[in-house]
Amino acid sequence: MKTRNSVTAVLLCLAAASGLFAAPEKQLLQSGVPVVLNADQSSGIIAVSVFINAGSAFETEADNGISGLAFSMLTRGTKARNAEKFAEEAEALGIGLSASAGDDYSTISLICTKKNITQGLELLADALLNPIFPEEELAKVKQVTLARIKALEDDSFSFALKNYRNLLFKGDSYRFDSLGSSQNVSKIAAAQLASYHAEYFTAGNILISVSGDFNTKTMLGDLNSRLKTIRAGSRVVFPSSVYSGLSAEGKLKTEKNQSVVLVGFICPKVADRDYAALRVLNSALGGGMSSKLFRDLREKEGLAYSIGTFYPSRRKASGFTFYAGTRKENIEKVKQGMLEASVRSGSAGYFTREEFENARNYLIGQYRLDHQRNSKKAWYLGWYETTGTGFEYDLKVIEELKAVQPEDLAAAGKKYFVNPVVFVLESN
Amino acid sequence: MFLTKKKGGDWMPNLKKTLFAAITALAVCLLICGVAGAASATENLMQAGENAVSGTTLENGITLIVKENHNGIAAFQIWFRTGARDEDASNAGISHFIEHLIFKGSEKLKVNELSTVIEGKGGVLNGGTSKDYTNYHFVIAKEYFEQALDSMMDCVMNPVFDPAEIEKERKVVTEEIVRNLDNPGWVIYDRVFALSYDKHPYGRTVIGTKEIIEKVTREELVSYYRARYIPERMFIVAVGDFDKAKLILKLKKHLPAAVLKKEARQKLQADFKGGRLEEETNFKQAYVAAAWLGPEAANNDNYAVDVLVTALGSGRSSRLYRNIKERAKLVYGIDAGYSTMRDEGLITIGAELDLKDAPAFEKKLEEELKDIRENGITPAELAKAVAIIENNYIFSHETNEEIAGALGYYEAVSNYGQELGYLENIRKVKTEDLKVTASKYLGGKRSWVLLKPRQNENKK
Repeated sequence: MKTRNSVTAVLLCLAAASGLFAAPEKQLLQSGVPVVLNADQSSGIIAVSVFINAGSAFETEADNGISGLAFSMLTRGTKARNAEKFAEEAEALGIGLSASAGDDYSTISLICTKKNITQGLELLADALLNPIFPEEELAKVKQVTLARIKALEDDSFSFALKNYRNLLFKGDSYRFDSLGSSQNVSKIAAAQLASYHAEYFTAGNILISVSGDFNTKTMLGDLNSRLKTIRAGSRVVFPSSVYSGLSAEGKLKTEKNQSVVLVGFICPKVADRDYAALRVLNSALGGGMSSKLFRDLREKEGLAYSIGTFYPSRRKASGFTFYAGTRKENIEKVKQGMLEASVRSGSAGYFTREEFENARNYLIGQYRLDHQRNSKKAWYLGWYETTGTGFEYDLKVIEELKAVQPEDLAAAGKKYFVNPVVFVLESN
Repeated sequence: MFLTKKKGGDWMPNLKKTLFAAITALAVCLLICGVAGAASATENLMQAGENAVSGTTLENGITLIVKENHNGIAAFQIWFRTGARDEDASNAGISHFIEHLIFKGSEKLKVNELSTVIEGKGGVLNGGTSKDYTNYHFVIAKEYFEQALDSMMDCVMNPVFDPAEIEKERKVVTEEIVRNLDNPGWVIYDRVFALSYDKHPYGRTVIGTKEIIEKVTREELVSYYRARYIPERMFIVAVGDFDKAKLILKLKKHLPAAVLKKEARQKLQADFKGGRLEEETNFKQAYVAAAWLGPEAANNDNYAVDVLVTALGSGRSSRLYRNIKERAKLVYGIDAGYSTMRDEGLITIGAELDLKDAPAFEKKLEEELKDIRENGITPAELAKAVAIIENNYIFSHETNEEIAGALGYYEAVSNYGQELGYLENIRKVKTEDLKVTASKYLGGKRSWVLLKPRQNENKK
């Protein structure tokens, strides 16, 4: 249709004209570490993300929480700097440097201006290669982590999601919260963190993604010399999916004012053949203010303020989740509304042609807007590379989204929205 | 900075926040505009040649602030100087309710057509209400800029306030109120503002109460809209890929031909009350917020206050973070902030901690503040705070919508010129100014709010 073609064409032109998507390249450092480089002179900013093939999805019941502790400790004591000196140096420059553990991967990220890149990389490399996990600092990090675990319930949504994940991903490592369990966190010792570092922080298990205002030759030279001493090692195997795929239902009571309703289904990983269709379906069902759930349950019925769906890109089978915050008396109505929408998604004609086009344009448009930022560009390139899909997918995914047709949405809905997992956090 | 950075994002909703981030998010929300979201100095960003920021007064008196940036994307924002500050006890929340209703259609556009027009072309839109202002904004590929602008202007200038839509939206806003009651960050923010101001409207919440939202009539909504959505209180910010001359012509079609009404917005003197509030909650952790009355946005002291709160609470090597969290281990998280507002805003210190440590924390905080009042901060601390502010400014001005938001914020609370000179003024702050500033603002009456977890939760 006219609208679709012209909008998509414009969105693609936009990419070319504005440098939102430049021409990234991949190189290997002498140590064997892959680097994706995206030169972009538009803002004077440089963003560097080191992706480490590690995180809570690699954990087990016995060590859940170890990634979180290890990454929190990277900037809290290295061979060259104690925790205070490290913070002092980074903050005096005004750079942003952070290490954080995720599920599919974990990162050390740097954002700085061109002027600070040498010192920024020096600090980043120090955190990456030389942490020493001092006991006194570990005690502090544990104290804060335990407090966060205890206070998880103070954020209803996070708390509901944690419980929902346990149902949806029963048996699978995606059920783990990156904070870990109190029991594990109290127990994990500095020596274990040092072994963790030795296992995961090797040339074969990391990759670097850079976007911003740099000279490629200088950047490569700098990274080569800083990462010379990285340990050799092979890539750690990413655990495969283990889940039942069965329906399940769970409920917890809370003293809160608002209830949370979550309904979800197991759906495929990033770059799967159905991935693009499910992304568009996610946009159409619960993406923006013009999505189905927003229209039907919020605008028409006034049942919720926060409502929508999310389908995060994951390395193995992910979840497609309908979410809403509502009052206790509306729980059943919201739940039924979500289940009905999931069933109707599987039939042709649930979305009008216009709704379909708009949802796809919204998705592609958001993706473009996201690429205004160097930190996001570095992130996308590194993420696709980490998943094994390849950094080129950053552009290719748009072609895949463009090719999705209404019947693909119906087919995906029919195929995946079969065995719902429902979790309700019930308020007073 | 170590606390607030989060993972790259992608298509995931930002659902997971640490608890402490929930509190600081509110301060940050104000900070983004007040500190990091501030002005230029960095010449290449705001004042570069043909892309310099320029202000124009349109024939009907409305200010238009423009910065062209030809990168394929355009951001557009309509601002009104009306918010919780312009309400009274009987209609608290009405500004925010109207913000929701603006999206419900105009004489030309059907209910929700605005979001379809913009999202359907790959754009993003939203509205926001604060104590000082209400705004409506979108960002979109340049090809759809004019169409999106027409639709948003139409909804804002000619809303229908359909009675059936009002009824439905009451329920949505009520859900939003209920949701906020469960969030420690919102609760403590509202409590500390209520405790700090005596009669000044900053003491009231932006969102209002269930009772008011359930009862407010269409007539009251329309009459508030007519009184406040006037040229005197309105301004427009556009940053991105468009032609300024064409934009002005386009806007003329939407705006009233002449100024309809004169209503200057007078300064209201803040009347700081302060005091102590301890409240038992359903939360699992204890939360503290302390507040002092700061300067208003147009007061030159605001630069020194921004530097002061950065030196106190921004980053792991800041005074309070290092001495209270890292060394004394009395809190799990701590932050300092200053709300740059039209009238005198608050300087706040927020912390998350174990209830049993609350008295020791209060004592330690007093010692730290006394030290700053008496001895100020070192030249190295000053240089560090300035570097953090300068860099955060650059990192938060990467997109057209961020630049537009920063300009709009300052125009709402003082004028956008202040935003343009912001970093230059920050660089002028001297160590001796900070001693004076700390004594002036952190020495007198304060508010102290402690949210306590249920007693049985805290026994170990």
